[in-house]
Amino acid sequence: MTKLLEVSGLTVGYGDAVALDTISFDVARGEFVTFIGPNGAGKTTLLNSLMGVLRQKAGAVMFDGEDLADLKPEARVARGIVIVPERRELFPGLSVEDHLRLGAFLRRNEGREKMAAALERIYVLLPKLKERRRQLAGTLSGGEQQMVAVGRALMAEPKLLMLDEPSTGLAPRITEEIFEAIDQLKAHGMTGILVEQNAHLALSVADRGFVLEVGNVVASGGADDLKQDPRVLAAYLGAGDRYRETTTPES
Amino acid sequence: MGARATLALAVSAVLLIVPWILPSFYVGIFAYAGIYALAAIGLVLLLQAGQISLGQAAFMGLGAYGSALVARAYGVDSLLTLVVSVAVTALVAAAIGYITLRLRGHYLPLATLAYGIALASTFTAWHDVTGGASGLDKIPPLGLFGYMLVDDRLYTQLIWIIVLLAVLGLSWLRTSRVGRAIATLESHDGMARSFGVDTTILRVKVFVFSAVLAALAGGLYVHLLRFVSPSPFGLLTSFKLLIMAVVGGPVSAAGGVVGALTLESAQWALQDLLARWGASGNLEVIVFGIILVVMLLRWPQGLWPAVERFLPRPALRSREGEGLPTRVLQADRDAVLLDLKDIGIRFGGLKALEGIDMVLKRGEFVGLIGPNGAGKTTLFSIISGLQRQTSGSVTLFGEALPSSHSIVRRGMARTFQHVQLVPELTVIENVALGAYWRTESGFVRGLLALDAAENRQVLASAQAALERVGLGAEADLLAASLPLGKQRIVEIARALVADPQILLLDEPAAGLRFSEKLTLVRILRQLQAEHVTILLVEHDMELVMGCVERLVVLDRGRIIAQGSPADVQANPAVIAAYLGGSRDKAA
Amino acid sequence: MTDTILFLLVDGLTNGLVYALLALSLVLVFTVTRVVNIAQGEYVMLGALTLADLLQGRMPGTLYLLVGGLALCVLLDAPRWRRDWRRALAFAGGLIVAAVAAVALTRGALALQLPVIGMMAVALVLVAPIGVLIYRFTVHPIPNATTIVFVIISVGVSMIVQGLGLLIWGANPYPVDPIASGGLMMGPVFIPYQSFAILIVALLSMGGLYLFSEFTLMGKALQASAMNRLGAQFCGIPVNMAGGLAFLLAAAFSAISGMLLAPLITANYEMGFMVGLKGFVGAAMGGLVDYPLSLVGVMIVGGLESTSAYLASAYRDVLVFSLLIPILLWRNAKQRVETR
Repeated sequence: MTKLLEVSGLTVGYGDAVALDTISFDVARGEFVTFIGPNGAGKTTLLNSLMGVLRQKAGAVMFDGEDLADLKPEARVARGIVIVPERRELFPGLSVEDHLRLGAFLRRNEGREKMAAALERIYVLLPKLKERRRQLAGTLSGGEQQMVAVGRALMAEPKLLMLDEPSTGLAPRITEEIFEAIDQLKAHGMTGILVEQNAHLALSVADRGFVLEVGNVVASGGADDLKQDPRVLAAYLGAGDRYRETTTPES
Repeated sequence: MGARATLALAVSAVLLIVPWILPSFYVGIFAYAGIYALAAIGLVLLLQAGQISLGQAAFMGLGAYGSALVARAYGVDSLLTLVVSVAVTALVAAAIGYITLRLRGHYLPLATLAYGIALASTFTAWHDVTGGASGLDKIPPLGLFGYMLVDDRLYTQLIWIIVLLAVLGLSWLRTSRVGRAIATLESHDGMARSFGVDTTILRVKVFVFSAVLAALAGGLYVHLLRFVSPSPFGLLTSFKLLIMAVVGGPVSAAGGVVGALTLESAQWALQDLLARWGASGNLEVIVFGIILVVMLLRWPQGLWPAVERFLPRPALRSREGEGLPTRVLQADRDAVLLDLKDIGIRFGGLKALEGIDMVLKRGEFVGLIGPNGAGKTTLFSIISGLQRQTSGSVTLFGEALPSSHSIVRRGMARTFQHVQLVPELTVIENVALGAYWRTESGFVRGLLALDAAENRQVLASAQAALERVGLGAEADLLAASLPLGKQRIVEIARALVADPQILLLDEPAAGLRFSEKLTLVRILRQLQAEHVTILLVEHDMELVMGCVERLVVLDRGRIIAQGSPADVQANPAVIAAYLGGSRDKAA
Repeated sequence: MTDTILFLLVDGLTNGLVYALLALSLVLVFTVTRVVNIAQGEYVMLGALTLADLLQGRMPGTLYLLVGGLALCVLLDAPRWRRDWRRALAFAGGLIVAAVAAVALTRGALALQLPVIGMMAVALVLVAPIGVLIYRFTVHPIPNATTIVFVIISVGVSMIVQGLGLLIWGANPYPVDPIASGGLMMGPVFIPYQSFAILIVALLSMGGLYLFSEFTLMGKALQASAMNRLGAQFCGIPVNMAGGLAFLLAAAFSAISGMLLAPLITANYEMGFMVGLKGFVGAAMGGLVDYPLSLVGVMIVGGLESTSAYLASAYRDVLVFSLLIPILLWRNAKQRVETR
């Protein structure tokens, strides 16, 4: 397998705070990896930096052999990196189908037939969107909005699809529907990065996983191995004792 | 006397001598520069408070017409009419300010533009009284008890004495209790409220003072010119004042003076140049416009910082002696300080919180945790008074939770998830904001430097708090120059100066390095030993588990577990909430 | 009495329509770029004076502005020559071609002595790109500046453009031919054909914007940028493209407004500013974001202006601008209720 994305020594921070501390990983073509970890571990920061919303302080991000360092978000979309953002970032006054068409904004010169075919593929994958195609995004339920965000991203024909916490705030049944769609995409060879707090859910679709804890990767490995790994639970609920009273150095 | 003060005295002396040595043609220019400087200083203060006025010249007009018309019609001494006219303008400004300063964001500049035009148009329209567009002549000169100030050089000197007094007063105000609070108005409204600043009233006061300076400038203008007409008080003058404030630098009152002198001399130089070329037209408007745009694009701080770089640093205000008296916290560990009963909140149809019951007892150290979207932030906002619950009650020290700017008076202080220090203030000034509610020197006392004793106490307390958290040496650095880890500690020091019984900490460790986190934990332990009650929201679980006594776990808007760290770590419901259930892959 | 009311109605409606185009421009610019554009009225002046020149057979002074602006654009692009000289060359070449094309178009139009409508189209082509240039010079370099900074900058732009207008055209008023001269007696009231022309052109312009927004992908992209800038970026829509497009369209609408208004009051260098501000008073009704409410707002402004011109003409501006305060308070109260 060839590498689609190679990240080495990526450091990201706000001001002089470090939110991600020298992270390195790679994603092969056709592979789905997941980053799991509690709130504030730096998962969303990672995706925002890969998307170009946050500037990296150090390290290199190579995508398809090209260094992304100075590219703006829209230029990264043009290269094939597309995100389904945590807050979905929809356009409340536009219809579902408008969202899908705008997802293909950079492919607008490819002709009507291709656009129609692409729309049809999304409607097959996410049938609920076809029912709601004329409805305004602002009037949709949370689950439907999440589907619109996924559909919009797919319309760009991404080489790398990044999903940020797709299960947040959704009922289990809806979450399941979304993850069915992710399963199908994966079966069709989509490369992806999934960021999730819900570790078991994420590891059930991903090939490999990385556990983030306050800006550092504390564990990584095959998805099935990680499911059993005690370090995952430790990352979520804290296991270290560096702050216990007895070990605090007097100063 | 400090080097800065000596230099300021020397510059002032020069400015006061200048009217006596300039050729008489330039005396007038210098006088008008002083008048515009006075109005521009008012605008600088407004900009410092994050406000803007595109109608500043209208207040000049009110001051001018008020004084000129009464003095002319009734023969009253014009110094008296000037004072009355400024006072009336202050009342008008208070009314306008009270109405328009509630407006947020893009509405405020539009509102100032609107009343600016409306007032200026009134001067033209009310022909019977104001003489309309052609104006009125025979305005009496400035006078009192029959003495008339007709010597232009003496008048110019008087104008500049007033300008210098305004600069001096504002530089005193800048380092006073109210001055520190004004610095928060631009972008830290919520923080200021949580430390007891009534930001709405303070905004109105700033606005009124700015209008008073403008009205004074307008009055001085008409009694110098001895002719009043609407055109000097129109929009173009408002714009010109704005340019002076921006060019000089909206960071210091002295910037207004620099701006006024620069622009007035540029204007005369340009007109002179044009006349020599035989060109007609109004080239200076174009040049001013370009200067304004280029300054904002390239040097938004204006000229003053470039000047100030070469000046000696201002003398520090004294912080010797005793700090403010503090309360002694009792050790009755059963006293319930904060009591939440059946708290619920809905956003639209979504129940973000439901049935939350929680108490904080004296001296407790409690952690609030939960996965993404659990409702921690919302609950925290409700406790700190920034959001109102839709059902249930919050009781603080046995009384209902008051509005956000009164909470600190009851003894509850907080830190912020995104550090809320005012970057232009020094570390100690930021910390001193914490004592706002414990002191009372007002706007006028600050302006006249009558707050020295109280200010000394405040700064002594602030210095003590900084030393307590290990940042005593950094007290006089600008807050923005500290690394984030130390900024977070400064936030804690600021909360401590508020002398709280309860401390709310919102992700105090986010972005900190390990060594900084150790310092943080040490400080928190020390506070706990002094019976301060602490509620901590934090993502670093190792840290939370390592220092709290009791945890409250939220998930999907409900409390799913409470207990000691060890109990919570082993609780299956908590584990499921964090890791999620497995999917049924058989489907 | 009915005559008076009818007259005031027609007059108010005509004013309102002129301000409506301004309000439209202001809302467009504000929603996409968050700029409260005090300088919007200057395009009214540019449109009117450009048309006046064209109709009198002169090369319009607007060409100086356009060509000068394009030259400044090339100058500001200088740093790119080192990094990527091919693109920089293509960019500079494109702008030079654009400048030549603008001059050629003007010469052609003057030679053909086009009718008023044709000259309006030419004037539009000359004025609208100035909007993009101003976006490039003043908004593009500081995309994240505060509202207040943008307001002050637009004050500067207004001073510059108005000053240049005075420099180019002088202080004299220029007569401008209406699209159709003459008029019609409706009962006792004489209604000039220009009023009908204003109605038709304004409706066509608004209809055009509606069709563009609703039925083209570019229009949807513009709406998307206005609703959620980050979301638009995630679709690959460049922020600067959306901002430039908003400034372009806004300049075009304001210029049209100026060309419709000029025959009624003659064109001069300071005619635009007040028109722009009255557009603001109307647009404030919709909080600078709501098109239909803005239209209601400008109609109220137009009506109030006509009525006060009739009853107390000296106080016309006082009344119109005082109206803004209650409008803003109403908006503010409404907004607070919504965010609660």
